[in-house]
Amino acid sequence: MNKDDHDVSGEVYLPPEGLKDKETIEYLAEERGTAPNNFYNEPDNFTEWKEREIQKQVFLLLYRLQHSDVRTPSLPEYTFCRDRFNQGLNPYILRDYIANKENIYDALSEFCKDGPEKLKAYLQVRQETTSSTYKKGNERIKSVSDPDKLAKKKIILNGILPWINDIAGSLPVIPSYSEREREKMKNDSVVQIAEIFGIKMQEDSQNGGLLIETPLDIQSLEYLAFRLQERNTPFKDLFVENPLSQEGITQSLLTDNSILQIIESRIVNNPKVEVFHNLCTMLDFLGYPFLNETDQKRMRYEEEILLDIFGAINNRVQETNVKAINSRVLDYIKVHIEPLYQQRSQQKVIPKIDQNALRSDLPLDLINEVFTKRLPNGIDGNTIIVIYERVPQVTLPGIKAEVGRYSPKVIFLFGELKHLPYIKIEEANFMALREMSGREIEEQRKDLRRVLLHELLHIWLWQVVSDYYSSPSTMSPKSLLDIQDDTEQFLLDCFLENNEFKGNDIFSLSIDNMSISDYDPDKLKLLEDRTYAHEIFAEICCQADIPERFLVIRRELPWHYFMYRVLYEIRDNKSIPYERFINAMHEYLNTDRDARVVKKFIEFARKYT
Amino acid sequence: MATLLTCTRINGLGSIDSAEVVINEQNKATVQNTSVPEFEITLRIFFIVAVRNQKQVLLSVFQTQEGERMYRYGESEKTIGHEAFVRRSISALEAEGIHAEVIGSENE
Repeated sequence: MNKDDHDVSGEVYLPPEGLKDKETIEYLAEERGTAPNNFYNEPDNFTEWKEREIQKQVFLLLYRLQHSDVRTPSLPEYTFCRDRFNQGLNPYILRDYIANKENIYDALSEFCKDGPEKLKAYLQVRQETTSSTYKKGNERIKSVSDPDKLAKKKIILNGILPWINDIAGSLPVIPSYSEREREKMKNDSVVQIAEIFGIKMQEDSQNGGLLIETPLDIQSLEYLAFRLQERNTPFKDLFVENPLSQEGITQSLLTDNSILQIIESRIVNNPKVEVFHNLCTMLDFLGYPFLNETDQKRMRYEEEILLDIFGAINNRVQETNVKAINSRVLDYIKVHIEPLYQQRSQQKVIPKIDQNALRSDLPLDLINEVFTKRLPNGIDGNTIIVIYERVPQVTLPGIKAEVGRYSPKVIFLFGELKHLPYIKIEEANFMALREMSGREIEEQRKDLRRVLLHELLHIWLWQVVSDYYSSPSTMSPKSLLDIQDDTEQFLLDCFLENNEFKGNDIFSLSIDNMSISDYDPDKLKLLEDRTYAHEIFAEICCQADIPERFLVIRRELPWHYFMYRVLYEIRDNKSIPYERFINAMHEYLNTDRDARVVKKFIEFARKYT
Repeated sequence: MATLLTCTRINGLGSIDSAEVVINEQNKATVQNTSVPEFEITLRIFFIVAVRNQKQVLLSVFQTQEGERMYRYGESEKTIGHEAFVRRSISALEAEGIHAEVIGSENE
């Protein structure tokens, strides 16, 4: 031990204990667990359907966690809870399989109580009817030379299988199943149901055809065939109500609210989950804005709580730890976060912004800056409304923002599952954790700025359309939506006329012959041309905001650059490009999309310096 | 193809911190040969955060049940390419006062 290990009082200095649990660190580092997906389309197979349903449930579960009313959940919390949800669901699948099988055998025993002895004996054996049962009394019915086997085969194929097929066909299928999956599910169900009736079927891989085995005698099979043909037999309902396939059971569980509530409440009240949630909450708060420039007290408090949480996780969480930690985090929120939200609610922000945004860490200063300093010509930031959903969309957690045509002055922003700092957490190095948290926030701010600039240009376009539509001089018989379409067409014609469209546009921008590869090309391909032109327009400002890209746009894409000037250039308190754009657009709309208007406008732009 | 970068910065004392960073094809970065541990942490943090935020932008349009067209801005599942990631990282590092330069690639 060297002398640095002692403080001035001579006592041994022990460095604070960091988080040692490898699993927890892996969750924080996003190296463990299943991240959520974006479901843009209705699922077309069972796996996707199941994934989507579980994702929905896990998001609902996240919203039930204690501090979810004051912050957006993080990606580690999602993956952590998601794994626990799966762990909670799996025993129910097994439980239901056993219970459903038991119910079916109970009903069958009752139904066949006056049947042949061999059948009754078989039904008593029940789920123990495994391959060993078949081995004991098995008879392979492949050879057709034995008249007894031939008779059995005939009864099974003609008297029993059609009815089993019928039952299998009436079982509920997942609505989103593909045709192939439906077929496979039906075949699997036929095999499963037949097995319940004591008939084991499998493909004969060596000789082809169907291999059938049964411990039942002819009398039993005849009896079954007879009973299956009867009207009003309970078989269909029995198998519908008691699914045996994993898919059927999973579907039934994922649509059964009572089961889901039990699983959820077990997770929400699980001490490990509670402590992990508190850990994520405190790591998240490391990046929240300070009320005062340097709030040492708050920092110390954060570190103390985090050390407590590390200790609780390292020493295997006890319920007493959980209570104490919960209470400290709640106290921290009361002392440091609530006043922050109160202060934010008194801040004047342009544009108009809703309460959800104020009770969050959404950077109001950045929004204010974009809406004052980067506002395109002819638009008033005060007239725009930003609505913030603090929690991500459950089936589309990757969506950051939306604007619609019916409410053209509203921008919807959506929260995202956050990334959390974790570096050097095992050493309780809070400086490194704060540095990482700060870096994440920088990235989020950059991203938000880009999103806002993009959405602002959508709003700008709809505003010029709206101004045109509501102007007393406009006598257009067209609807607002038609005029919006025509305006997109105007943009498209301009980009096409200048050969600055697909392949030579903002989305294919390259620097030193290297693509910037910022956009998902497959989704861009799906956009129709008019919409694509609209998106080029909306994206110009975001890219021009980055100095090196601005230079490339000015040099390589002159029409893009001119549109940028339409939006932002002001000289002597007026903007000639903006006025010309508005005039040309109005003329284009008044003349019902006259191509000469586009040519004249482009001619002006080329001469304009 | 992995890319090798050298990163340098002038620290608070006026001397130069330096390090090498290898970025593999999956854009995972390994920081090595750092002159001081603090610089290693800074670079590690930088690249972990950069990798977490390297998703492509997904622009899409959809129609609501009421017939309204919504213009969506989202994050794709796909990530940006290796060259774009390296370029973006270099310019973001410059903005942080860290000079980064490509000094080679695995193929060379």
